[in-house]
Amino acid sequence: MSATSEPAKTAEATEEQHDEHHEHHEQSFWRTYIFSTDHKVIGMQYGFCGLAFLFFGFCLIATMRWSMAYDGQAVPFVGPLLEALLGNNVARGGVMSPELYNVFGAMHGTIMVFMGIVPAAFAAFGNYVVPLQIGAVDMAFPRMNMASFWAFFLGCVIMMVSFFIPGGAAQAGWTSYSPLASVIPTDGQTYWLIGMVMLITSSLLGAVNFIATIINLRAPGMTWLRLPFFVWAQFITAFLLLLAFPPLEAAGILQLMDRVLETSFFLPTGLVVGGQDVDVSGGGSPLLWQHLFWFLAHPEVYVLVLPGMGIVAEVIANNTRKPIWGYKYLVGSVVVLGFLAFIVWAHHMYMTGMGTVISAFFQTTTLLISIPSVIILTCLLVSLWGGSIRFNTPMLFALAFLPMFGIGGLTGLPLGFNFSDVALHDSYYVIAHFHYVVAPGTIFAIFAGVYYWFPKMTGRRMSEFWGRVHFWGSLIFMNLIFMPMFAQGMAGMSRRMSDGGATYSLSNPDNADVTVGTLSDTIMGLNVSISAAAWAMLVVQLPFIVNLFWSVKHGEKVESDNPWQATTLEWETPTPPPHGNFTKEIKVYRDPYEYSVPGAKEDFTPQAQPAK
Amino acid sequence: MSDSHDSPTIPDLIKKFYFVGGVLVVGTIITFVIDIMFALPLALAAVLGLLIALVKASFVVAIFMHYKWDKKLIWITWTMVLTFFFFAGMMGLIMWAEGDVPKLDSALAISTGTNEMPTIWIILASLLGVALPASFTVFTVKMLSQPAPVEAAAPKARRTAKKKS
Amino acid sequence: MEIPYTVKPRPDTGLYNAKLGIWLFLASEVMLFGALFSSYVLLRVGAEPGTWSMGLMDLLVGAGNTMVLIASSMFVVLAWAELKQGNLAGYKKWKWATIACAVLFLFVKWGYEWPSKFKHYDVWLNNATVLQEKFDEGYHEVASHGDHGDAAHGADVEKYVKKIYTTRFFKEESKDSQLAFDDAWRNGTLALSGHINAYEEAQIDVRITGWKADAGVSEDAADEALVKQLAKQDTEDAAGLRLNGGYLREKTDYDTAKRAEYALGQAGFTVALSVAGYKRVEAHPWMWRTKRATEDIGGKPRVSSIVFELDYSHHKGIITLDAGDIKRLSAYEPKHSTFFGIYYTITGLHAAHVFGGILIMLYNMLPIGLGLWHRDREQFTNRIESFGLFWHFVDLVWIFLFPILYIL
Repeated sequence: MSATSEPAKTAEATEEQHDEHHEHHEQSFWRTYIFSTDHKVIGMQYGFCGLAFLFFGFCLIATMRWSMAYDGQAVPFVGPLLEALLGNNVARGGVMSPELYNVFGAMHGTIMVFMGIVPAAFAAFGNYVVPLQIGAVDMAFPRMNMASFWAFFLGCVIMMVSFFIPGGAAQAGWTSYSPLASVIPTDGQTYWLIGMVMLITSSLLGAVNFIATIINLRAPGMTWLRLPFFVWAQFITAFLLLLAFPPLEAAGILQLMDRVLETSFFLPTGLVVGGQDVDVSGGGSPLLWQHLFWFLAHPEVYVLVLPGMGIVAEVIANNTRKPIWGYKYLVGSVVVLGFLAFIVWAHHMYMTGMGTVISAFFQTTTLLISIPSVIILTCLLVSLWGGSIRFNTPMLFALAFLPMFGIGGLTGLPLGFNFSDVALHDSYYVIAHFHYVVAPGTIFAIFAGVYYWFPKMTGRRMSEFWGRVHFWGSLIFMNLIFMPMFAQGMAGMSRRMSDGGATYSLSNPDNADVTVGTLSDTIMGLNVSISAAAWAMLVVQLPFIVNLFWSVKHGEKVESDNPWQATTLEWETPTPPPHGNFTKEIKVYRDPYEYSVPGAKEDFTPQAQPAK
Repeated sequence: MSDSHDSPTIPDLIKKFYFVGGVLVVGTIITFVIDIMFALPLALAAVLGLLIALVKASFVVAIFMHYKWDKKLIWITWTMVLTFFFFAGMMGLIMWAEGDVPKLDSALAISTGTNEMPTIWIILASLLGVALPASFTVFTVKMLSQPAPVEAAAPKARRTAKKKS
Repeated sequence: MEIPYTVKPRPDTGLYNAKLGIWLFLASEVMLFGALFSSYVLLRVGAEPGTWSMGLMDLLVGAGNTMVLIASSMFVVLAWAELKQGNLAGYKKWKWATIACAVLFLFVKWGYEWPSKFKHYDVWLNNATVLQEKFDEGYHEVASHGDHGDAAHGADVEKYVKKIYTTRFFKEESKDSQLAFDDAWRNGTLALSGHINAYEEAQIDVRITGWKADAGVSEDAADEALVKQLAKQDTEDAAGLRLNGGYLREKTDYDTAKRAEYALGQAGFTVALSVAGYKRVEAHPWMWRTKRATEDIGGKPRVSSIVFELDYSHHKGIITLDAGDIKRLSAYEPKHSTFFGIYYTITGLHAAHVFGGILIMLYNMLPIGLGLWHRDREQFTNRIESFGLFWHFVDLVWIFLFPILYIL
């Protein structure tokens, strides 16, 4: 394999060149780019799908925001498209019906969490970067890696197909609470469950692969405390996926049984729907679904966040030109965080009639889990102290991650206390809280990762100017979207209302006599400004999309294999890395972030550089 | 399994396999016989049945899956202990949450201030919330700070690196 | 490019990749089955008193299948031990034995145990006094069979049913069981288990009551549709039938009648179905549900009565239940109750694991899988060891399933 630094172009363009470089085993286009077992190609496949679904999920919510701001009016531009694609019973004249709002709402959550962020943050960066950073030639099980991607792809196809079946996709929210989800007569929920089983299978295969790779394929000398923090974050994330996803798979199978074979695991005795007794045996427990679901879904939050933290740590260490402050505490925190993530789930269920003793337990663990989170955030923040910071695009995103994630985390505290959660439960406050954690948090980290590792993947940099446009636009509009939602939530606006709460507003004639418990016109007015910010947010993503594809061919070429002067092992490879990754034998001699070592010639000392 | 971990020879192993097979068969027969011979109360039957199952399962894990000779492989142990912990946590906490439901009449009692939940229970539950992660931390640190059975390449590299840098 | 530690264990972790991978996979499986066990426990503990059936399983079949799986678990480890000694023939012998056990296991489950349950029924009655009457009638039949000449008299029915009810839902008598039984007896929510030996199936008359000319179907097309549904395919008849109405078919079966109703409805006809009479069918039907038995046809039920053989341990009684007395009818299928729901879910998932295991074992027995043995003996041995770990886990799950589903 030649150590070429020829940048990769699009798949089609480089096919010939690629074959030339691989004299040893020539592979067809299909084997190289579609059914590849190379962790880098799979990583990019995941990344492409993940980013595409993030964009698609965002488009769904952008359409929903129209319904919230201007209920009952035809959606501009996409209205006719909705009517043509989904039929005029859900989008007559381009007006979004409440049913369609429910479909989009449920699918927005599902797509963003399971088909957007998990593949982009965990699977894409994990696949591409982790083997490189630990000095491995590939993942431990390359074929299983491919199976994992195709199970994911199949799950996505099932989810997408469900939009077009009669009755549309799932409507019961991304949480799919039973009995609602079990008794909805349309088939969307069944598709959702089958799709989820595929996605879960994919994640399980991926998680097994990641853990095995990190434990067994570390390069000589790569001891546990020499692993870059990103690898640690991925390692813990993989454990979360491995152990938290199966209960949801079990719950999904049980709900599937409820829907297909008419069992009643989640349907209580004497259930009445629409005034009719439901013909089921009864004896089920709706709360069981919530327990099994949140047993996954709370660790899932950390699945979404930890890879982001890992990326941010890498970028910050590199661009402050000094070691991460408190590396060992970071590692300890992330391990404890992973453990605690499993015993806090019922704080999503304070409103289910839980007793005081058990909620005291979950309240305690919930507040405890903020400690490792704060340690991580503090370590990253303190790392900035005294650094000679380079403000490039990845660093800007990484820096923005810190306060944004901080806001998201701190606003979670009132939700963790059961007494204040009573007031805020299921309101827009909750929406604002978790979106601050994942949207300007994890998604900013994903952007940082894309800008940071793009030169390694392609041999070219993305445009710095458009990167800054993208960054400042995203930062401003992100806050304009989510900050007002805190106010709306505290004013009592409930989530999942297709008219944006108009039913309960002061200006609603039906509410004329009622002054208590209604939403003021100011609060209602925020709906319009939030929606406008959301559409502006959509516009400022365009520079990123154009930049991403344009730079693959026309970006500024990198001058060396290590354009950011980084220390970790992924920069020891040729650019882009060939099949098999390393062209020389890799041995690790030092800690991951040896920047500005006193007495060293340069301000960075790569991990693979032997001591004199 | 690797042969270096003082595991018995294959003929010895095969003898053990037959022994475990016998134990499993006998266990099943005992369960079966107890069930048809004695009408035990449900609680006792549950304890007895699961106890026999547990014994059978331990033999399968220890001998058939040769965990007995693999147990120095701390990653397997760590993962499985963690898994069983989470499984127990899932089961236990769900049961606890389902059991700890305020009853209507006691809610009435609370509103009149006559029958409040003793504060001590709430404090104890909170303490348990602290104790669980604390014990996990101690367990993990102890487990992972044990040296791996054959610590070959990695520490050597670390020593040289430290010496020379 | 070669991935390290696919064959030899890594010195500092002591593991080769596949073994690490399979243990991690098993960890996730523990959580999967663990969640299902948790659901089982929660549903059972949370069940209303008197709704969780016990002792409906065929213990002998369960214990037999346990033995079969234990044997297979042992054979698979012996197969690995043979490979470890370099003996491919021995490996093949034990591996075939394993496959045979696995197939036997699935055959017993899918070929005998489940199908026999689908023919086994519970009937819930609207009113328990019916039971008293039915028992009084039924005893003659029992006596004439000569099974139990000393069968209890009518007055003892409540006591007798209570004993059965208590064993099934409570194991032993207690205050709770007494309360639940009183409630069930009063409200008629008693479940009687047994087999349907025969039933009275409706004979249906299909009558044409009119034809709408404005339904957009031409006369010829309507006649054509009509002819297709006639018993004797006579064109002359059709036009007259269309104009004047009249009987299309008499005393036909349900499916034909429904088909005719649907097809003619499409062609613009209005069709009336009525029950002309009932015909006794001697059969053990599969997977009936309440609707199947009591569906309303022109004011009469589809099945007027079922001949039900009660299968309580020491007394056998055959009673005839009218459709009006049946509140709910269900075979021992997933919809029957939460117990059967979770039973089929867990054992079904377990059986899927067994099935997957059989496929992998077959792969490792065919030339395509055995090729690895000739290329790299140690790797093949490792592969069999990893598979064995999975197979033992499947056995392990069953070891716990057996007591909780069959015994408790």
